[in-house]
Amino acid sequence: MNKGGRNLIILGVSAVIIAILTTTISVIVYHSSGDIYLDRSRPGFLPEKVEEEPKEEYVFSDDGTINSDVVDEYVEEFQKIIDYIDKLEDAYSSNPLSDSTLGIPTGENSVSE
Amino acid sequence: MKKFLLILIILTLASCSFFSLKTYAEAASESQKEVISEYCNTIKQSLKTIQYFDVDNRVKLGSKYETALSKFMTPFNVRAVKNNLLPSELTDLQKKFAEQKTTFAADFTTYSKQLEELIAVDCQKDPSSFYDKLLNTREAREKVKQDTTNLNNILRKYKEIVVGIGEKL
Repeated sequence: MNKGGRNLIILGVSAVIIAILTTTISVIVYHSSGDIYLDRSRPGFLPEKVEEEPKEEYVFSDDGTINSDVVDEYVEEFQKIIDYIDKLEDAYSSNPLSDSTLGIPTGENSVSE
Repeated sequence: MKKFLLILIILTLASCSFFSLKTYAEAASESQKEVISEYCNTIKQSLKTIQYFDVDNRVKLGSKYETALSKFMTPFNVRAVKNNLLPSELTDLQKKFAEQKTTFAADFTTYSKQLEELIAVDCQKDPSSFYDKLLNTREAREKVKQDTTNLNNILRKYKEIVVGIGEKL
């Protein structure tokens, strides 16, 4: 094998090693950072087809005076955020993982709702 | 030296008995093990559905918490400072909210890892381990729930103070 051919093989092998190394590091970071648990493009986690259309959001400027009208408008918009969050108040309630919900006979450790 | 050894042995025995009692208290009963083993696939399917909705809710809540912090609390506090109206409670609440938001994200990651590990357990063959992991996952979920409650309370308190400022103007 001539020198050029050998160099080509070395280049190919090095490229593969670097690709494997960087991919491994990326996957480790992806797992350890917790991003994997927010990734809805994972198989089985694809969002529903009818997604909420992004609405134009209210922006409160950090400049200007503060009077009762400004505060009233601010509070009204802020309340919308609170109302949205309130709807998801039971998002992490203990009920879905309780013995009864999972169909396991109720034991001492069951979660009573 | 003998006394020291004796105390050491007593302490070791006491801690062993404590942990064995704890294990006994948390172990799944025979009937629970039977059901887990028999309906393993159904239970796992339920857990996968829970996992799907948990991620969905995490994304929705996370984006709203971010909006509340960056588009409401921060600009209001900056503007209030410029108008010499900022009570110290508002800056404290903003700081608390940011910290709690970070805790929520970390606790959710921990919970998600536990749920994924729970789903990976072969509950047909090893219902005991499955049930143990289920108990741990419940605890982790409880923390996430507590975080969301804390965040909601901070938002409500913040709004009340802002309403108070508006009434004084």
